[in-house]
Amino acid sequence: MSDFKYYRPQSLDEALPLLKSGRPLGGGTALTPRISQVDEIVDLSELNLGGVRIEGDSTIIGSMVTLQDLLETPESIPTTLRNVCRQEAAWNIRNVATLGGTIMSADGRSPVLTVFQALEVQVNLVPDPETLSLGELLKRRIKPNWHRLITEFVFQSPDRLFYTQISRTPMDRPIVCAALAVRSGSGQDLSIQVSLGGFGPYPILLPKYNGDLPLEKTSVEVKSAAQEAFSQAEDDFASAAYRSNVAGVLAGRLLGEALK
Amino acid sequence: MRPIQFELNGQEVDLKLPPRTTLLTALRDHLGMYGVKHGCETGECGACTVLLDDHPVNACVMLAAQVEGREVRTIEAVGEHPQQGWRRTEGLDPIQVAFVETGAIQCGYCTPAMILTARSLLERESTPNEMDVREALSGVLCRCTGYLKPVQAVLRAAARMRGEAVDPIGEGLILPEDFHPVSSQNLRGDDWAGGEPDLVTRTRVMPRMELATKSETWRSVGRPLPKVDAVKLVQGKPAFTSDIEMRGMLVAKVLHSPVAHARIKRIDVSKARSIPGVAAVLTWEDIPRVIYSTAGQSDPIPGPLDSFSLDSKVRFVGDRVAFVAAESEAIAIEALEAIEVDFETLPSILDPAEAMTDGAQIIHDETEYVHFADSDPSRNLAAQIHIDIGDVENGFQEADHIIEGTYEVPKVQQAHIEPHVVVTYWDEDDRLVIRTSTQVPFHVRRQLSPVLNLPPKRIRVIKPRIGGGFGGKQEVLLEDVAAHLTIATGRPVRFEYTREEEFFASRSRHPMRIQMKTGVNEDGTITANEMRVLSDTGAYGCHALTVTGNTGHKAMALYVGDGPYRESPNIRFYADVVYTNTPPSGAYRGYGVPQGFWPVERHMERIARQLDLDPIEFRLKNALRAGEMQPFSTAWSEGREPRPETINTCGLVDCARQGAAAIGWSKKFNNPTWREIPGKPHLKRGVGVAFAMHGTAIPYLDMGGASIKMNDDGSFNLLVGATDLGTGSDTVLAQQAAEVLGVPIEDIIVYSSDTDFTPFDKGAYASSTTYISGAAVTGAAQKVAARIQDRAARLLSSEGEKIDPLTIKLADRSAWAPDGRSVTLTEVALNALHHEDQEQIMGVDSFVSPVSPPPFAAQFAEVVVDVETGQILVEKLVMAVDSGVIVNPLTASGQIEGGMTQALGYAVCEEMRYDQEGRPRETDFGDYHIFAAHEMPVLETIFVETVEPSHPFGVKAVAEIPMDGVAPAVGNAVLDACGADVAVAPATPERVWMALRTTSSDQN
Repeated sequence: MSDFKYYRPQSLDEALPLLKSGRPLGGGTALTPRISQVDEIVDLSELNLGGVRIEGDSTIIGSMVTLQDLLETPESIPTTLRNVCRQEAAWNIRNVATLGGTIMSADGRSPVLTVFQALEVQVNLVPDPETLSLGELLKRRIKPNWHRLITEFVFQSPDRLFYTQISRTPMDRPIVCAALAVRSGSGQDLSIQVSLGGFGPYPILLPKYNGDLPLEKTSVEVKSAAQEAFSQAEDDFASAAYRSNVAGVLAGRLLGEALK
Repeated sequence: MRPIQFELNGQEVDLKLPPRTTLLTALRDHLGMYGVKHGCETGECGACTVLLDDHPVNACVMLAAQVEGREVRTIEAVGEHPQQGWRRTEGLDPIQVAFVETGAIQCGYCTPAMILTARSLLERESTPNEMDVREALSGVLCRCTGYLKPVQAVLRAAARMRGEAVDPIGEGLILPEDFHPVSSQNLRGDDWAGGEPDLVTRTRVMPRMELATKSETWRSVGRPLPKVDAVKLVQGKPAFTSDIEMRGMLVAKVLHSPVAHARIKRIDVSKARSIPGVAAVLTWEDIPRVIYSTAGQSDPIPGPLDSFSLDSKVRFVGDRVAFVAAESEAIAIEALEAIEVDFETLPSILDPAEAMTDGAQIIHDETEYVHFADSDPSRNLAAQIHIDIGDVENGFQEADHIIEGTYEVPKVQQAHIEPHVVVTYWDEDDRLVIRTSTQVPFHVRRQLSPVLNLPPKRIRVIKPRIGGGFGGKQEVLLEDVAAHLTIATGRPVRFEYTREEEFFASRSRHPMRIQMKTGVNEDGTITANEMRVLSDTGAYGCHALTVTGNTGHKAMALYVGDGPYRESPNIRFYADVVYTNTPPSGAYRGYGVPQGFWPVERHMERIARQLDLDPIEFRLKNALRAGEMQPFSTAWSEGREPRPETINTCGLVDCARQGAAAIGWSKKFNNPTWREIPGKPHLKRGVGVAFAMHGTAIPYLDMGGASIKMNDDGSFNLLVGATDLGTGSDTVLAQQAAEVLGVPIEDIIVYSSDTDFTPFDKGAYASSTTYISGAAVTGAAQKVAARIQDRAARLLSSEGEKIDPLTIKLADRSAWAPDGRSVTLTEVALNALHHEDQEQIMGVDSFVSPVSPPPFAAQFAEVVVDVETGQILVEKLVMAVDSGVIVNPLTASGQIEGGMTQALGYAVCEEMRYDQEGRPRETDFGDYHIFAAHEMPVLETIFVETVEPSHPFGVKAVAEIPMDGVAPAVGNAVLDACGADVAVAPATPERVWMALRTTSSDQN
C-alpha cells in the first residue's frame, strides 16, 4: 500500500496547490470508505467555506455546509430543500456530510441532487474562478484529474419548490423521484423546472416549461417529457416501463400541486 | 505516522497514527474505547456513533486526523455502575436507566450509539416529541428491537430529566377481567376494553396481555424485570467477541472468489508471503481436506457434508480461495491483492429452475461428498422431501373447488449489526481457544474437531456477548479460518467480516418458489392442501433439508380442514432443495416457516375471497385446535424418526379476536368508505390478516443443561450452555431460577457459555431456550431448593419442633417453615459451606422434550397503497400471540416488536439479487435497506396466554413466530386496499403496480 498524505490547509491559497494532486475531503462520509484507493487528501474543514446567505434573490450556500446545517437553517431557504436533506441521510451522517461532498459523490438516487437540479443551481469553482451549471458540473466531475474546488452553490429562490419520491419504504433511496421549482417570470408568466431522479449517475433535468401554455397542455407535455426521459431507465431496481410510467405520474402530481 | 491531538471524554489524547486510520480504528484499537462498535464501513448502521463536539457522527467514515483539536465523547464517559464498592458514584445516566428499565436493550450492540444520540438530542432539546426522538435515532440501525422501546426509553428519560413523573413499568397490564368475553361468534366485535394504544406519550411500555390463570405466588416469572445484562450493555462494556486485546494478535482476511463457478488451476501466494508483516497465507494445498457441514446442528448433521475449509473449486462469487494472517488489516489486504489465481471457469447455475434439468452443470462433484437422506449431487439435489398425509388425491376429488396459485419468496439477510467475528489462540495448556460470536458453541467445538485435526477436548469455545444472530450465527462460518491461521502461526488471530462480506459470503434465508393447490368445499371446509416447493440452497447444503422441511412442517400443518377432515387431514408437501452457484442459504429466524406462510396465507386469502367467505372465520374453521394431532408429527422430524404429538394448548381464537379488535377489523375490512382517503383518490387503505403457527424446539433432540451453585451470601451462580443472542434468554432463565429459589433476580448470576465449564446446550435456535433450557434451569433450581429445604429444616428443627423439609417454602431470600419461622438463605449457605456437615449446595439438570408445543398468532396489518405508483405505506402492525405463559413481558414483547420489524422488511423491501455473473446487487445497507427508527409503522403486541403443560412454568416459544405473518398480512392488506394480488415477496412498488395492471386487465 502506497504512502498516504493528509493535509489540512488553513486557507484557499494554501489549499489550491495541494488540490493539484490531492482529493478534496469535505466530511469524508463518501470518501473514507474508499480511503485505501486514495493517496493524498486535502481536508477542507479549515477553509471557511461554510455559511448560508441571501443576496437579493440569490441564495448562496457554502460547499462545506453540512446537510444538518442546511436542515437547521431557518426560513431563508426553501422548506423542501431542508426536508430533502432529511431524506438524503440520517442524522449522524448529516452532521458530517457536506453539501459539496454530497453533490460530488451522489448518484441519480440523491434527493438533494434532484432538488438542486430543479433549482438550476450554479456552482462557483476555483482556481480560475468559474461558474458552471450544476448539470455541467455533474458531467465534468467524473473526469480524471479534474482538480477543481467548489466554493459555493447559488440559486435564485423559487416561488415554490416541490419534491416527491417513490421508494420501498419511506426513507429508502428513491426508485423514482421528482422535484419541481416554480418561478415567476416577468408579468404573470411562470417558469416550471422539473428534474427526475432515482436512476443513473445523476438526475435528469426536463425542458423548462413556461406558464404561457394552457394548463392542460403544459400538464400533458410535462408528463410526456418525464415518461420519455425515463423510457430507458432500467436497472436492477426497476424496469424502464415502470420508471417511465411513474415519472409521468410524479411529474403530473407536482405540477398539479404547483398550479393549485 | 501523523500526530493527532484531541480531547477524548474530557482527557487530552496524543496519538501517532498512520494517516489513513479511521476514527473508529483509533478509538477501538489504539484507545480501547470498545463501546464504539463496528457494524459497517460506510456509515449506514451507526454502531460506531460518537459525539463530536456534542453532535453524533459515525466514526467509521471519519479519519482520526479529522478530529484534531476537537472533542470526542464515547459511551465510556456516560454513567457507571451504581455500586462501586466504597466509592460513591453518580450511577447510571438517566437515559441509561430508562434503557434498562424499559427493555430497550436486546443484543446491546447498538445500545451505546442510541444512548449517545439520545444524549445529544436531550442536551439540545429537553421536551422532544416522538418524531424528534425517532429522528435522533435514525442514524442507528437496530435489527433487534423495532425501535419502540428505545423511543419509549428516551421519552421516559426526557420526562424524568425535566422532573416529571413517568408511569411505573408494569402500568398498562391488561387483566383478564378487562377483556371482553371471547366467543367464536363475537370475532368481529370491536369493543376492545383497553382502548386505543398509547401513542401520545409512548412512555407506557407494557404490552397488552390476556393473562392465563396461574400461581399468584410468583414473584419473578411473569414480571417485567430488567435484563440481567442490561447494566453492562448500556455502559458499552467490552462484552463482545472483538472487544479484546491480545499481545501479538494477527488480523485475518479471506480472498474471495470473483467468479461463480470455477476450478483453481493455479494459485501462487509467494508474493503475498514475502510481504513484510504477513504471517501466513493458506490455500487448499496447505490444510487437510476434510469434508464437513457448516450448519450448526446436533449430531448427526441432518444434511449433506459438502464443504471444505478451502477447496480447489469455487462455487459462488464470494467463496473462499485463500486465508491470510498479517500484522495489520492493511497488510492483510495488500497480501490478498498479491495472490495470483488462475481460474478455469465452469458454467454456472444461477436459476434454481435450471439446477435439475438434464445436462445441468454439476456443482458438487467432489468424491468426498457425504449424503444425507435423499441428497443427490449428480442432480444438484441437496435434499428432497415427499410427504403425503391422508389421501390427498381423494381429498381433491371430494372438493367443490380446486384453487391453485404460484408464489415466490426472496433470499434475505439476517443483517445482525455485529458482523461474524472470531478470535482464536492457543492457551497455556496448548488447547485451542475459540472466542466467537456464535449461537452454537458446543456444535462449533464438535464440528470443527475433525476439520482442525484436534480432539474436542483440546478445543475450548467461549461465547461472549452476541451482537445479534437471528440464525446467521448458527453457522460455523469463520471459526475455522482463524483456527487454521492460529495453528499455522501459533499466534492469536482475529477475523471479522466486513459488512460487504456479510452480504456476499455469509448465509441467508432460502429463496423459494411455491405452488399451492387446495381443495375446498362450498362451506369453506378444506378437503386437501398441497404445497410443492423449489428451494434454493445456494452453493452448499447447510440447513437444506431442515429449513425446507419446516416450511411444510409448520405452515402446512396449520390448516387441517374441518369436520371429518379435522380427524384425518389430507396434506401433501413435496420439496426439491437444489444447489445453485449463489451464496449459500442457511438458518434465519423463522427457519423456513416465513417462506411457508407467505404462500399459505396469501392462498387462504384468495380462497376466502373466491368463495366469499369471511377470511378470519374461514381460517378458524380449518385451523388446528388444542387436543388435535400435529399432522406432520407422524410424517417428518428434521430427518429423524417422527413421533406423534398432540397440541396441548391453542389460543388462536382469542388471538384472532383480540388482534381484530385492536386493528379495528370490523370497521375497516372490505369497507369501501374507509378505504378512501378524502382528497387523495390515488391512495387506498387496506387491512389484512394472516395466521401463524411455529414450534418450540425439536422434540426428542434438543437438549439444554444447567447447573446452579449456591454462594456464601445466598446468591447463586447459574451456568448455562444456552446462548443469549440478544433475546433476553439469560434473563428469563434467571427469572425461572429465581422463582424456584425464592430470591430476586439480582441474586442469580448468569454465565453463558463456555464449553469448558457450562453444561451442554444445543444452542440458540428453534425457539427453544426459554422452554428447553428454562426447564433445565428449573430442574437444577429444584435440586438446589431441595438441598436448601433439607438444611433449613434441620436448622429450624434444632430450635423446636421437627420440621418436614418438604413443607419449607423459599421466598424473600429465606426458607420458611409452615409456622412462620424462617432462616435466611445466607444462614443456610454459611451453614452448608462453613459450619456443619459442609457441602456445596448445587444442582445440575437437563431437559429434552417429547413435544414441540406450537405458539400461535394472528397478525394484522394496515396499509395505504398508491394505486398509480404501487408504493405501499404500512401504517400499523398488530400481532396477538399465544406463546404460553410469558416469563417477562418486556423481553417477550421486544421479541415480537423486533421480529415484526424484520418481517416488515421481508414484506416490502428486503431481497438479495444477483446479476448474470452471480455478483450480488446488495453489498451494503444503502441498497439492502432495513427499517430505521423514523419510518416505522405503529407496532402493537398482544399476548394471549395459555399454560403449556409440558413445561414447569407453562411457556411456549416467542422468538420466531413474529417473522411468519407480517408479509402475508401486508400482502392481504394490499389486496384489500386495491385488488392488487402480489404473489412475489417483497411487495415492492413495481410488483404492486404490475399486480394492479394485471387486476385491471383481468377486470377488463
